[in-house]
Amino acid sequence: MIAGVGVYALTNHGNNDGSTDESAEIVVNGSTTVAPIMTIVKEKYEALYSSVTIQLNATGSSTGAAAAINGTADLAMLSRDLKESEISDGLHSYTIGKDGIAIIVNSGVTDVSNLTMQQIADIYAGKITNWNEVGGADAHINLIGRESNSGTRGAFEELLTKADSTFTVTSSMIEMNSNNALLTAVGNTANAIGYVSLGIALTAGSSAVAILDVGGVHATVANVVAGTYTLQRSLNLATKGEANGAVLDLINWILGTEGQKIVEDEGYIPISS
Amino acid sequence: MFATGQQALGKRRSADSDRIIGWVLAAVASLAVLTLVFIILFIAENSGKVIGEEGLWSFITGGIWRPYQSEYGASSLITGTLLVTAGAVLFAFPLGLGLAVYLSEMAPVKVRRFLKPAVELFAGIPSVVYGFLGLILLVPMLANLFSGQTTSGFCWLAGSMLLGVMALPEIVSVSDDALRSVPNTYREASLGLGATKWETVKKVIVPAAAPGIAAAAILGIGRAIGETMAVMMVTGNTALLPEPLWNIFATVRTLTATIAMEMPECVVGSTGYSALFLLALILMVIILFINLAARALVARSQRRFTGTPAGRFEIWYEKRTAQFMEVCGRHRLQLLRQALKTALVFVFLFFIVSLFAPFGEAVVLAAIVTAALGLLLTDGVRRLGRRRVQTAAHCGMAAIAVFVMLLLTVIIGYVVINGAPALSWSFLTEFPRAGGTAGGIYPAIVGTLELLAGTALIALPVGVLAGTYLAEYAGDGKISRLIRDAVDVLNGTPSVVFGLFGLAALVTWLGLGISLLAGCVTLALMVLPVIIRTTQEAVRQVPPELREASRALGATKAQTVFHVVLPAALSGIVTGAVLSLGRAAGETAPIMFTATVVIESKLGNSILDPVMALPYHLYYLASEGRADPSMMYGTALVLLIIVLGMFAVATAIRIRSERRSR
Repeated sequence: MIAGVGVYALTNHGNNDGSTDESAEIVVNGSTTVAPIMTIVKEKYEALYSSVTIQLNATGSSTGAAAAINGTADLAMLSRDLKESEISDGLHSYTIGKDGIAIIVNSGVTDVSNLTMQQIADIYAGKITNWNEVGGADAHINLIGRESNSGTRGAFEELLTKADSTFTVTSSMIEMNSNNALLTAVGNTANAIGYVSLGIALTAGSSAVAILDVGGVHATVANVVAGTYTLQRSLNLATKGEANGAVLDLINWILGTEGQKIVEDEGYIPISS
Repeated sequence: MFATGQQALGKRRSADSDRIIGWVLAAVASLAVLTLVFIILFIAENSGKVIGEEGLWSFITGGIWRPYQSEYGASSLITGTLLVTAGAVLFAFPLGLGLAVYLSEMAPVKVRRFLKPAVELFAGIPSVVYGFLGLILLVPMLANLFSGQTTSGFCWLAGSMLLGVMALPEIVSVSDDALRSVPNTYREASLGLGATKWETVKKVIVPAAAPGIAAAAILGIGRAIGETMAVMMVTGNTALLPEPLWNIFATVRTLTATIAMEMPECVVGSTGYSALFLLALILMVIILFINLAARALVARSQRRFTGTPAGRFEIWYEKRTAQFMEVCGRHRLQLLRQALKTALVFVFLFFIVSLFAPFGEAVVLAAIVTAALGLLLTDGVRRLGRRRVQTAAHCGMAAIAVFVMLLLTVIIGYVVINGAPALSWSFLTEFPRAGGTAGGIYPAIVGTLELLAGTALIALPVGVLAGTYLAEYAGDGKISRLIRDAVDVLNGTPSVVFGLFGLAALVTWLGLGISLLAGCVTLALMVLPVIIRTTQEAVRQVPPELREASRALGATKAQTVFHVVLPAALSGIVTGAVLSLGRAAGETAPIMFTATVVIESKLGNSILDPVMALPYHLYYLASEGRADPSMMYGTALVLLIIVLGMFAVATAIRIRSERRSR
């Protein structure tokens, strides 16, 4: 019976080679950072083009890419650039926006409002362990970050390594597994420091955390666009082979004015501004 | 029904159908077991790559876990899991057993009717909620209380406390069923000999119920060891060994947290991917060892009651003990045992005190407290008199019950207070808008109900029949014990592993795609071990007199099983069903990879369509969503209400069955 169901399913799933005339279903999977954008894209796009249905999953950048490679998804969402192995498996990527990385501290840390990249690198390497070493009160720094495979963490540590080539992250960093969890952790833990997607930090508007300046530059969308705020990474969509048909139409729409407005409203940085 | 005139003919027909029923049950049990074996093989197969590249020994003993730098040393993770689980059991087992004793032996009927489902309600709270409450309430509380020992509050203790609470329902409910199934003749005999009620409980009933209590403990340990979402929010997740090893305020990381945190971003087929599966395999081996140890302990205590033959180790142990007694005298043996117990208590106290005071002071303090305890428990108890001891014990048990209820009230109260503002007709009937920040959760409610119905439809018949077969037909041979071990091991497997199995086997290989069907099957596989195990225990606990009477009246085996044994075991079976479905309702990882989508604008048409679900929606809002917190708590509250409804039905069934049999 299961085999019969399986056969039925196989013959009825994933037949979009793409024209927008007949009803098309686009299966999207991937990064949870890009998902908030795609939920709104789905709502608006389906309202505009009623023949298209978008199925949206968010199990992580890498599982999304894997799904695109093995055909169970049409479009992958990634909060990082494609890996070599993914490119050689046939994935093409399309950058739909940028995301800044904000350094947040518990709002109880009132004496520190700015950190240089070198200081941040030393804190995360475990070389600086007390707030009084960077101008704050005498208190142990509670160091919080993301899990090892996180796209946010990867981008963050890469940028720190650019600023200080000897940087290695300390093993005693507390790890949380999502942007919101990290935000909540920093907000609830005295003397804590962490890093989150700028989009979330701005839209959450939490009074329990404060966003630090980096190297004297405010963490704002404008500064990310201008390039003066250096902690940033790109948000990508990927398809197996060149995108065509309904999927290409969707990507083009996201890259168009309406799509980019959604990116901006969610606190991310549009690429074509 | 048995004594009709047609008996001769009827007997032959029912003998045939009896055998057929036996075969059907065997087939169902084999199917269940085979699927579970497949899952184990799936995990083993995927671990192969990293074993080949790194070597098993260096994987287990290596101290550095940095997969993105190709360092695969899991010793700190294994230690983390063992420590957190040990702490959880230390916290939950005494509490749980005490509460079970109170429920079954001391509580008035009305209190018991209310309290037992209330404790089971703990099982229906989604693990994401536990995690978040732990993060918001428990961690800062520990940071404030023990500011000298931990600066952030993220620690092993937090993990153990949280897991302990999550394992409580299993331990309490299953132990309670085990205690209640001890025949009244035992109680009457003991009281008749002049023992007080407390002495009866302590020396007769609890030991008699030991196998059931051990099963409860194993289920609880399995729950604690396999728990993912909650524990990774509160332990800090540092892949380091605590310094010193018994420092309960150190940050640790468990195997499950590692798997859950790293899997989503892992490239399928890579060494890192394989390494995570090896972690799952190690976890299952740990559970296997715990099960074997618990089983051996129980077998030893049961020999006095059932006269089963002793194993080789036991015979050796008894011989050495007898030799020692001959040489040194019984008195010295008892002294040795006392000394060992005292030493254990002293070491335990020293471990705790040394975290607060320097070494020398800690030793002295621990010694003083040990001595005081020793005096209190031996001399003090004797002076108090048996009556007063019983009263003290009763008060103690009642206090435990009150404490657990307080805990429950705080947790549920927090969810209710924060979620109630979001509850409205539109919240319950509208589709989500603006990425989940506005509108309602209607499709998630429908999806959860559909998933529950599907899971129950698959898991309950298969599980109950398989458990019945194992208890009634399979006997106690090697094969049935092997099956029991496999089932126990799978019970402790982290839910994320089931999710991955579902993804690989159902979604991808069978081609079902992300669908309700794939989700139901995955969830059913996840709860099958619990249902099989609790059914097996419940059936085993039915007194043999019932079976003998039924057979003596001329019923066939199948008739006995289905018309006498199963109805008598109904209460225990319902417990298992309720606990597992409650858990299924709140689990995220299994459905995340197999059935759910982030947002839906219309309901699906068939079982091959994906669904939204409350726990996954909750997880999404909690990790990346931009919605107001009240929407998150509102979702949790709706889930709790659904689970509560399920429990109410189960309680009604249980009350009716208890009224009939007692």
